[in-house]
Amino acid sequence: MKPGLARRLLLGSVLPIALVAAWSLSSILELIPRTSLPAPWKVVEAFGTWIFGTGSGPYDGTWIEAICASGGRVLLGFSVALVLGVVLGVLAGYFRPFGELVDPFVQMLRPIPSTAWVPLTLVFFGFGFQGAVFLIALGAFFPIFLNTMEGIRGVTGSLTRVGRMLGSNTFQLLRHFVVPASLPNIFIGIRLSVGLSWVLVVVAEMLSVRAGIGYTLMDAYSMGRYDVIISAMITLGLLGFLSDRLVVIIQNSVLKWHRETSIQNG
Amino acid sequence: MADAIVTCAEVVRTFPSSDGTENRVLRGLDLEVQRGECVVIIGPSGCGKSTLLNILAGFDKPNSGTVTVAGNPVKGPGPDRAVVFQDYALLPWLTTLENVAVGLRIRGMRKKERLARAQQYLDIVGLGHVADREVYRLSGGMQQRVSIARALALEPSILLMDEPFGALDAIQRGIMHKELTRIRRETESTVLFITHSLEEAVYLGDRVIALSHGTAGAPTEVAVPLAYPRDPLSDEFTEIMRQVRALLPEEH
Ligand SMILES: Nc1ncnc2c1ncn2[C@@H]1O[C@H](COP(=O)(O)OP(=O)(O)OP(=O)(O)O)[C@@H](O)[C@H]1O
Ligand SMILES: [Mg+2]
Repeated sequence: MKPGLARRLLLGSVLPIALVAAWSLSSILELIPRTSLPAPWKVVEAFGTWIFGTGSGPYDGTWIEAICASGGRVLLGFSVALVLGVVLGVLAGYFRPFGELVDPFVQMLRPIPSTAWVPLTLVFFGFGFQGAVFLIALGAFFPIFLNTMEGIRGVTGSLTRVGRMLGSNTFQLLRHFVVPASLPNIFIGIRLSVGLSWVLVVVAEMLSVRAGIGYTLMDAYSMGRYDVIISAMITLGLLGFLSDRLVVIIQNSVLKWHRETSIQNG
Repeated sequence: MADAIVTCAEVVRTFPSSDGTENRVLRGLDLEVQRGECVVIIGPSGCGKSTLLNILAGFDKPNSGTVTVAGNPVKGPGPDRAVVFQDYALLPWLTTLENVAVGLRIRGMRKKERLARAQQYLDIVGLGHVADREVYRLSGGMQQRVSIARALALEPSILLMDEPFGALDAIQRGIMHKELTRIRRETESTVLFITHSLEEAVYLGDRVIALSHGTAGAPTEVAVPLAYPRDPLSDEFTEIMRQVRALLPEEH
């Protein structure tokens, strides 16, 4: 074990353990009525049934199904945002007139909260998969687009000079010089968007779609199953955390040069 | 004429200056560089040395005048005029070898072939052993040698170098001077080299050319008929240094 890792694990677990301890204590002493906040062990039990249950309860064994439903929407919506955000961001960042055409329009749409799009989304895409994917793609597009565009605009003149000097045409200049140099910024956008995608899938599922973790969350609320609500919240936290880790792992391997050159520079 | 690689005739370059007048940097410059020659350009700061190099590289355009390299009018940047940048301008996401090969890749050369050629030029600059190393982990002097190898791998008509060793310490610079002399002998390259250091100019140059503010016609020059290796402490060397210093205005 690396020195310092033990210490970090220990310190990092103090607050979560304290929270669970306080929660257990308040359940035992009934400080908060059990009907509004179930005991930790009740939640563990409900979580177990949600994941492994084979009975006939409404949530028994539906965990994987719910994850796949939400995850599929996130994956598709995010992928659409990634492709559109990077392609349009590169074009808007590199080609001035195209940027002047697209950028003001994007800046006009961006302040509208994604959640405010829900009614129109329902009108155009209905209560279902497409609506959720649209909402996620829309919300996740902006961070990727903006960070890509800024990254491209920040590429130094000497890099484009090298590219031209080596004989690149415009496509090769973007492919071999400008886009790789912008990857650190593009990854900032990707990380923000992945987090946002999980928020938006829950919004979509709570409001319209009839499957997924967000749907389970709302459904459990109407059934008064607070143990399931907390299980769903924990599930969302885990999914968000794991997808962020995945992005960071990819980022660290793709951008090894960036991490190491920035550490060298200070 | 003999075998001119670079021909500049009546090159004019003016920039609009802040007070609304014209900053006439080059006022009809004439210059020839012969095949295999190393021409070093000196001159006071702001006299237009980089401007001339940028015009030759194709990064900038003259207002009037003709510039040809190997018989072709310069229209824009291209691999026949390889530039070695002061800040190296390497690509940190590629390995050292890939950095040398990147120009060949753009040319469409097959992978095996271009990596072999890159290795060959990395060997020439004495860095064959760090081919697979991350390029940003190399020292400044090594990075500049990678940048020279990248330029050489293009097998250009001329190497254009704008204060390439300006960011190096004195010891590294001394090593680079010896290296460049050796590389030039091995590859028979033609070089246009800009510097502030008179000693560097006399050490490297076959001819030292002095620009002044608003150079018109052919600039003043001193030939350096010294054999290699050159000894900066020898009498011949210091005598030529004296002649070169006389090309510059007093305050330099
Ligand atoms: N893009 C530009 N726009 C306006 N003026 C410029 C531009 N580039 C150069 N100049 C001006 O042209 C003149 C010559 O500049 P240049 O960079 O060629 O000088 P230099 O001889 O290379 O100087 P140094 O030795 O300091 O590098 C300067 O007065 C500079 O201000
Ligand atoms: Mg200069």
